[in-house]
Amino acid sequence: MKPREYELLLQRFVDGDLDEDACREVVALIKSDPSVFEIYCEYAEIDAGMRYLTGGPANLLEQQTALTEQSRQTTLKRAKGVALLAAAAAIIVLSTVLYLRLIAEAPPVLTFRSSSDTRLTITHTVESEETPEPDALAVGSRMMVKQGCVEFTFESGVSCIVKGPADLTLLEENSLRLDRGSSWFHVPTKAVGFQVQTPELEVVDLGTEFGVISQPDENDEVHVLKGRVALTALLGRKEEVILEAGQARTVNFVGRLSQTAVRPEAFLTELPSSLPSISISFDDLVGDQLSVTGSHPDATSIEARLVSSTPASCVIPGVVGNAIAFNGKGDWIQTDWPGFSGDTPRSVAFWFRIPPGAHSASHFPAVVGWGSLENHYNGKWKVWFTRNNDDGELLPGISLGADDYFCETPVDDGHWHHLVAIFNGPAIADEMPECSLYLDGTSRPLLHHFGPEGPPASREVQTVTSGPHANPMAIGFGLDTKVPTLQADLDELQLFEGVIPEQTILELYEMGRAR
Amino acid sequence: MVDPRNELTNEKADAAEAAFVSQMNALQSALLTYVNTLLPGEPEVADIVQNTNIILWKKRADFEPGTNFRAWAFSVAYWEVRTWLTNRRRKSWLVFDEDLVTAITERFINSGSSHSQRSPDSFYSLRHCLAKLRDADRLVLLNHYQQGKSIAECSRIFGRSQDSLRMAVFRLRAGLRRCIKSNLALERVHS
Repeated sequence: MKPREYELLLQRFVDGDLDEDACREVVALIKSDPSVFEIYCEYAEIDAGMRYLTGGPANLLEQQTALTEQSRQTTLKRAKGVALLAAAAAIIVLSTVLYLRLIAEAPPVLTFRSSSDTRLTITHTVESEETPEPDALAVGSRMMVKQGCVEFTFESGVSCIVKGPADLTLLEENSLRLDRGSSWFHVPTKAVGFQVQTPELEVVDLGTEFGVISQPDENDEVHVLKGRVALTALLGRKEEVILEAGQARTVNFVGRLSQTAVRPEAFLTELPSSLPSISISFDDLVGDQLSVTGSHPDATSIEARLVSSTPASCVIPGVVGNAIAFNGKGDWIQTDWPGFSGDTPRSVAFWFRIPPGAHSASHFPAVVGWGSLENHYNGKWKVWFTRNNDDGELLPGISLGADDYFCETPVDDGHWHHLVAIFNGPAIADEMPECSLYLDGTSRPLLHHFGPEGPPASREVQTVTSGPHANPMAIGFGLDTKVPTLQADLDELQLFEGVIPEQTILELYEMGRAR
Repeated sequence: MVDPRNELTNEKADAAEAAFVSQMNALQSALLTYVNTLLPGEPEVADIVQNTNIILWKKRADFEPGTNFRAWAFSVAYWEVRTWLTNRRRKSWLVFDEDLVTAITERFINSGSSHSQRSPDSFYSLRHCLAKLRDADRLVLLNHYQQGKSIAECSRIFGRSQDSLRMAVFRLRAGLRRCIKSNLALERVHS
């Protein structure tokens, strides 16, 4: 029997709404399972409480009055006791008034607002029959954030910023389950005890500000920024610890909590105005280090190093400010950023210029790429140029590993072009991954082919960003070091954690073209 | 002329009675819940609690200050339930056997875990969680309880099918239960 079924039976039992056979069945259930016993007692208490609070047919206020009258008749010397009973009755009346006042002011448990271009779905499994307001969640509501950011404001005063992709469920008014996502929480003193549960961890706030990261295929993390939290692993050893400000832990698959560096910068503490993004404009080069900016939490900590014997000579006038000129003879940019992981939707935009006749080799480097270099599954993300065998012209494309896409517009003409490469996120069932290419602000029809290893066992996209097969983002160089470096000029590289709308694509293109 | 020794004796008796009343008052919601748990669906639960209160008051001289008032009060309530069943010629515990009754009684005497059983503001958590419901949802529950109306009667009032209304009450109570548990968890953290 499912929990919902026996809960329904227990409630009907409390109501006296079952026949004799059904009653026997319920009693057997109550006797056999301590948790059912407890639930029965809880429902009986709610039932009693409702009768008490609503002043049912024979409420306790009347009883108190009767008792008071009896007390009066006993002796006058007990007047003080009677007064106490009367006072108790008055308290009950007062509390009933308070209750009536409270019920007129019931606010929603949780309201939210999202940044622009956020894509989310909400499923309500609420205990009331009415659907919450569009900007509110009720206990049991589940929100899946495909991309973008959401700011939550709890009635208790707790505030929270969640960066997608995320999957969360409001368990109770002060308890949230975070099955996936990166979240920052601020818990005011009055809401101490607020709980966050991931598949691997349970966090109980003890007056604090903290962040939680839960990603599939990676160990969950908790970072305490202020105050304290009580942390419990939900796996294996189920280790527990009280964490202070400046401490962080990650949990492994046996339930051991390991120290890790606290990273306040990993969490958004304000709702951004647009999709989290990372930008390398190539305008600022200091030594061999390029400036990385953007609203993505990782942006400020990314190190981007221009690998060249003469870095300064790579800087040329670009579409906007400076650009980087790759000569195809060993220059590239290496970063320490692992990239967008798994099936995270993403958009990569940049300006490029390829001289005619560039890249005569049969293998072609990536403009930007990260993940696994394997081609028998979709574990990589690579935006590149591939040669059209018929006429030898270079065509822009996307490689996910096993699934490759390209458009048929040649681009090795010596002119600046703007390209946006998009992965749309999780597909339905085992269908082909959804990708798009926009060249010079216009969507281009895509051709598909499989990589050198042929069709994959699964079409699922799981870009690898951790473990031995992960390669951090490189610019102008493929993941496979046997492939030559890029021969092209690049400018205004921008990476968005999500699918940017066509309007933004057009604006990016027009902004560069106007200059 | 008033004998000062008598005045002193009376003052002590008053203080003892005041303490007794205070203890009774604090236990009302727990007694109601206890009897309601033993007699699910029984509309006369409040009457039984009332009888229990009267017995407790009459026998207050039997109670020794400093002993477990809670255990004593529940034992009185337990026998009141038995007496009530006997008077109605219901010699068996509806459907409960002695083991289960003992388990229920021990839970109420020993745990005192529920907020409603501990808080001087009776059923505080329930009150708090009720306040969070939407007006329309609360109205469904209030009609069900306040008016003592059956699902069939309520279904006519709201113009909804009995199944729909039964399911609504079910969902609302399940939500209240979760909300109360959440409050208790919070209380544990605070304590």
